[in-house]
This record gives sequence, structure tokens and C-alpha cells, in this order.
Amino acid sequence: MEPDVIRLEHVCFSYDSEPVLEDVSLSLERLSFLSIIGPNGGGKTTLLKLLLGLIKPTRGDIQVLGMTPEQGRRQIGYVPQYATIDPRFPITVWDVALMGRLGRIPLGKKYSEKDREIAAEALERVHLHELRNRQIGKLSGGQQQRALIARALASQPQLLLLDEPTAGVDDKIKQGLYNFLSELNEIMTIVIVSHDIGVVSRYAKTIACLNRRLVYHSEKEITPEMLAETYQCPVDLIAHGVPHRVLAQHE
Amino acid sequence: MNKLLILILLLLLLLILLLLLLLILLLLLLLILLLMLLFNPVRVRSIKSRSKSKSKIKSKSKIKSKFGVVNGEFIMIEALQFEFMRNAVFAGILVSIACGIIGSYVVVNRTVFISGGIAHAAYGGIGLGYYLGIEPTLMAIPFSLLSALIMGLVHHRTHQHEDTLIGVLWAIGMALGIIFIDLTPGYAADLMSYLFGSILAVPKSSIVVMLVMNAVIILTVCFFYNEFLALSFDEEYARVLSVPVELLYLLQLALTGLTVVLTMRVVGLIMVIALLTIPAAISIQFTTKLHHTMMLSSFMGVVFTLSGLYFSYIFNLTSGATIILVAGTGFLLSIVYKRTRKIIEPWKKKR
Repeated sequence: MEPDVIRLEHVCFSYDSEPVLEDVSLSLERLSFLSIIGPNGGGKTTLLKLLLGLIKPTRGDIQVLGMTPEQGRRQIGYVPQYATIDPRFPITVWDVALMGRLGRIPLGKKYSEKDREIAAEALERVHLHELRNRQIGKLSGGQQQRALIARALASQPQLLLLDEPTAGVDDKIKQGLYNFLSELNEIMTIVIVSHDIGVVSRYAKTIACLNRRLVYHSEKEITPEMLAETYQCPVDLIAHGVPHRVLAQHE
Repeated sequence: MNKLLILILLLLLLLILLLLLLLILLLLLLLILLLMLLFNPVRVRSIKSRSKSKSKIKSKSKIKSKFGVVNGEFIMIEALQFEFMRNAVFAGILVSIACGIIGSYVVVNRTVFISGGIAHAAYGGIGLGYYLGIEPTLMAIPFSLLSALIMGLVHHRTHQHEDTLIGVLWAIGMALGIIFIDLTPGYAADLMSYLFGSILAVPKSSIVVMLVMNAVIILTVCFFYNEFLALSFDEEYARVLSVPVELLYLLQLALTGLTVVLTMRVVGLIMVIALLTIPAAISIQFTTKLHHTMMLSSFMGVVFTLSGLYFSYIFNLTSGATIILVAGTGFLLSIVYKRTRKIIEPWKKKR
């Protein structure tokens, strides 16, 4: 039997003595499309970091593709927020995409012709191949986000993790991005952390609400009760940049 | 209304043209200076006051009498016939290459403060070298490596109060150096040269050491170029790619430490940071790939050190400080240039 892509069992994590995650259990099959929503400080990014093996859980067990996160992360394509890019950094889109191959080659080795082909293919998928010689900091927010997705795709992952990919991107680009992700979902599992509850519910197959504790919903309908339980404070919710229509828009 | 717009545009154009003219003039000046560096008469006074040993002056006057030139045109070439002058030029070039490469990392990684800490902590090694009667530069190497290691680990492990600790190490290193020199019998006259640099007093043996260190730096950077790039651009992602981030980070800091010790001979430890960061800070504005940044900053460094050396020579000024001033002027000019281009470009597009 194929192992689950992600398997979390009673995972707890705390910074110092401040609990961030409490008793989180979750398992995802291949080709899932999970959207994790929740308030800021609810532990969304912490959960991603745990999956990537960047931090270790205080308690509980994490498996990625049946391996430890440190081994399994070679199969993960991770897309951080583009806002973390230093706009002055002298690096081209091409270099960034090629960087995705770094985990696949031994230390100190140069990229092979095959690596270049794969990186070029990844850039074509996100329609950035013509802009490959541009400095990444000179691109628009949506383009930078796509470049980071290309980098993740270049490592040919089985699982794609995206950390708020739509923050600060306009609606049209958002739409395009989600369409693209649904397309990708045919070949890889996708986990997305997002504030865009309205849009996400249209594309994601399943939804998990995370606010220290994780509540997994096998259907993708977001009900006001779910939101109220997760966010606890609806005023806070609007203040943190969640579009107002989220509250209005439940079909 | 329209007239006003045209007037403003014209004024802007005039301003831009003036600035461009200024830039071209400056470049010309630099070129002339470089040429003069090769073909200018030596000023006897400056040579006398600059050279450290009497034998050098002796050899200089010997050469002068041999060629029979007092106010001749080609005495700068003659100056290059002095070993100390040739060494100075070599040292300037070698240091610029190392600084161009490592400085690019320092600027993109924002480890300027750590590099400053390493430079000053290395002073403790110089003091110890004096005290033990060992070549101070050699003692400075383990000191800078050790401080680089401590600061790197603190930076990586704690992520808080690191600037405080760097400041503390910075001061302790300096204090140690001074105490060791106090303990050393006799007057340590040469010590100032480590603070402010003495490119004219670089011996041939140091040139060889510099060559070796340069080779080490270039080879290491070539070998780990991709990993270093990933680490500098996005450390977290490098970790996800299972790149040994901490090890490589420490290696990078160790290379910074080596470069600092190398550069100390030329501009002095107080001004090491300037030569490490200014050329890279200029180049980063005009390049889109990190290895281009490195090459351009190495080239800039060579221009700055050699022209600085020339100025210090003809005006009889401290070489290290003059080099830094030339570099600083270059930095300001690059910013002015970049600003004016920002103004011009949208205007051009409109047309």
C-alpha cells in the first residue's frame, strides 16, 4: 500500500512554553488539494515548517511520504511568500528556477544539461521563460510568486506546499494562479495556506481550519460556524486582511 | 499649463545632461589619473616620507642617479621599479579581488556588522603576535577565524541579541590587542600600520601569502557557488533543499575572516569594512547575477586601490584613508547616476 503523503499523529509544538500547535493529527492521500485556513498566529506557518523538517515537534510523529520530514522534504516543493525576496539581490529568474535542482545534485556539483532542461520546463509552465534573464526583484509580485513556484516545480516534487501565495496579488492573477494549481493537482498533492477563503473553497478539495488545534473538513464548504470556531473573533478576522466577502459569501 | 510642463521638462533635461557631463568628466579624470599613475614624475619628498626603511630610499636614489632623471616624465614607471611600489600595486590588486568576491556575499547577506566584528577581534591576534614575537598577520588569522566561528554560531542559533554579542567581541578583541602590546617590551611603532594600513610596507612574503589566500577563496567560492547562492538568497529554502546551511554559513564567515586579515595590511582594520562593502554595494546596482557582481566589484576595487594609491603618493597622504575616500566618492557617484537614470527612464518611455 502506498504511504500517505502527509501523516501527522498527535503533533504538539511550542515556542518556549507558548503552545502553538496542540494535538494535531492529519493524513493526506496522494493528489489531495488541501487548504489550511486560520487566523494569524494560529500555527499555519509552523505546521509547514514542521512538514519541511525545519523545526521538530515537541511531541508526536510526522511522516512525509512514509519518511521523516528531513528525508521526505526532497520530494516537497515549497513556495514561500514572495514578499521575503530581497528586491536588490543580484539573481535572475533563471538562477532561482535552477536552484530548485540543488537538492537533487551532490554538494559542490554543477548543474547538468538535464537540470537545465527541467528548470526551463518549469519556467515555461509558469509562463516566465521569456523573462528568465530578468532580475527577480524587478518583476511584479505575481511574477515573483510564479518564479518561486517554478523553483519548487524544478525539484519535481510529489507534494507542493504554498504559504499564502495570493497575499498582495490582484484578483485576476489570483484566479490564474488557482486555475494553474488545479491543473498541477492532476500530478501532485497540493497543500496551500491561505487567507483567501472565498477563492480557495472553489478550488481546494478539502479544507482544514487551524487555530492551535486542527479541524479537518472532508468537504470544502466553509460555513460561518466553521469560521467562527476557528477565528473565534470575527472582528479580528477582518482586521487581518481577510476579504469582507468571505463572511457574506456562503452559498 | 503646457508651457510650464515643457519648462520643467527642459530644466530636468538640462540637469540630467549636466550630471551626465559630470560623470563623463569624472571618468576621464580617473582615466587620466590611471595614465598618470604610469607616467608621472616621482616626488622625492613623498617617497622619502612614505618609505619605511632607509635602504629603500638608498636604492631609490641609486636608481635615480643611474637613470639621471630628476624631473623626467617617466619616473612613475621608475617608481614601479622599486620593490615596495610594485608590491603595493600587487597587494592592491590581490586584495581587491578577494574583497570583490567576499564583499559581494557580505553585502547580499547583510553581514557587514559581523565582518566589522571579525576585523576588530583580529586585532587581538596582532597584539598576541607582537607579544610572542610571531608575525602578527599570522596570529591574526586564528583570531579572526575563531571570532567568525563564535559570531556565526550565535547568529545562527540564537537569532537574538546577536548584535550585542558582536559588539562585545569587537571591543574585547581590540582591548586584548592593546593589552598584549602594553605587555610587549619596547615600542611597537608598526602597530599603527595595522589600524590604518600600510600598503607601501607590504613585504614580498606577504604578497605570496595573499596569493595563496586568494587562490583558497576563489577555489572555495567556485566549488560551492550554487550552494552559497541558495544560502544567501533564501536560507530557509536552502535548508529545505537539504543544503548543509550552517556549515556553509560558517565557511563563508571563515572566508570573510581571511579576507579581512588580508585587507588589513592595505587599508587597516578600521577601514576594512569600506573596501569590503563599497565596491560590492556599487556593483550590486548594475548587475543581475551574483558572479557578475563579484567580477565588477573586484574590478572597481582595483580601480579604487590603484587610484587611491596614486593620490596618496602625489599628495603625500595616508594610503589607506585615501583609497577609502576614492571608493566613497565612487559610491556617491554611483548613487547619483542611478537616481538620474530613474528620472530619465520614465521620461524616455513617454517619448
